[in-house]
Amino acid sequence: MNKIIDAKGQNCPIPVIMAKKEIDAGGQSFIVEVDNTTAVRNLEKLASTRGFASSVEETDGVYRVAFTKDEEACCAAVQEEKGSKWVVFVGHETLGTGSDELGANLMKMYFYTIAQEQDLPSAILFMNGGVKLPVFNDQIVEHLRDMQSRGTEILVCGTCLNFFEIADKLQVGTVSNMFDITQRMLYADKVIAL
Amino acid sequence: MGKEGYLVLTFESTHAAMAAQKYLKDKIPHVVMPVPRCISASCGIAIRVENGELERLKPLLGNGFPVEGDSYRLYRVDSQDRAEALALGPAGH
Repeated sequence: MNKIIDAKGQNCPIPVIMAKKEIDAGGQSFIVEVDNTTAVRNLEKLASTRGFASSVEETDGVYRVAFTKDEEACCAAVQEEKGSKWVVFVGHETLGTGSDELGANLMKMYFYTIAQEQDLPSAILFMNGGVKLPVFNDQIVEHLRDMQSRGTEILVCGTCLNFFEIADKLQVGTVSNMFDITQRMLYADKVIAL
Repeated sequence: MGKEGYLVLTFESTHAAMAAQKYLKDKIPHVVMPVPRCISASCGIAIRVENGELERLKPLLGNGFPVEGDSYRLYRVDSQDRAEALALGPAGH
């Protein structure tokens, strides 16, 4: 009989944290019950990054997400982690402090330069004023699209987009949350914070 | 953004580079980039314009361009990262 974790009525990211605790405690096979599809998606993502297979069943608005340790997926996950993964965290609209005008130019030049390289970051994470870049900065949007098409994940803090009331104007990247963003930092070999 | 070469404007000062960028905004498609290694300029900010835009760029560097003629340079950079200085003749004036 699989262990059942009741995460119904819990808001993001609590269901994911509950599942993570179970994995960290050595759980090989368990079920998380949630009541919204966002939680289901986040749990599925967690499963794939931690080497678990997942399946979902729904009855009367309750989703039962089953986690099962997947040896093959686990190997793939370990291998993936072996490559040097680096991520860029962008917490400001401009690069450095001193002059915003200069900082805006330096930020464009930074993205121009990293987009020229073969070795791209595995993820670029935008938070606070940084979220304005994938919304308003056409040059940087272009560089991000280029890197995204070559495998870089672009995650943009949804809370921050809402705060600036620009969520509907995002040009590139995925609306994300604190959990996913901290997870990308945690599993990176190197985090470059701008 | 293709790899087949491009045009690049370099400047004597950061202020000139930023003034030029402000002026060219909405007038011609361009991106801000660091000055390519093959070129030496006293300011590290350069403006890149695609090759096909040369005829559109030239008149913009005439009357109204906020940087003095001796304070910026125009180069063509080829796919092997070799730079060739372009003369800013009277074209377009």
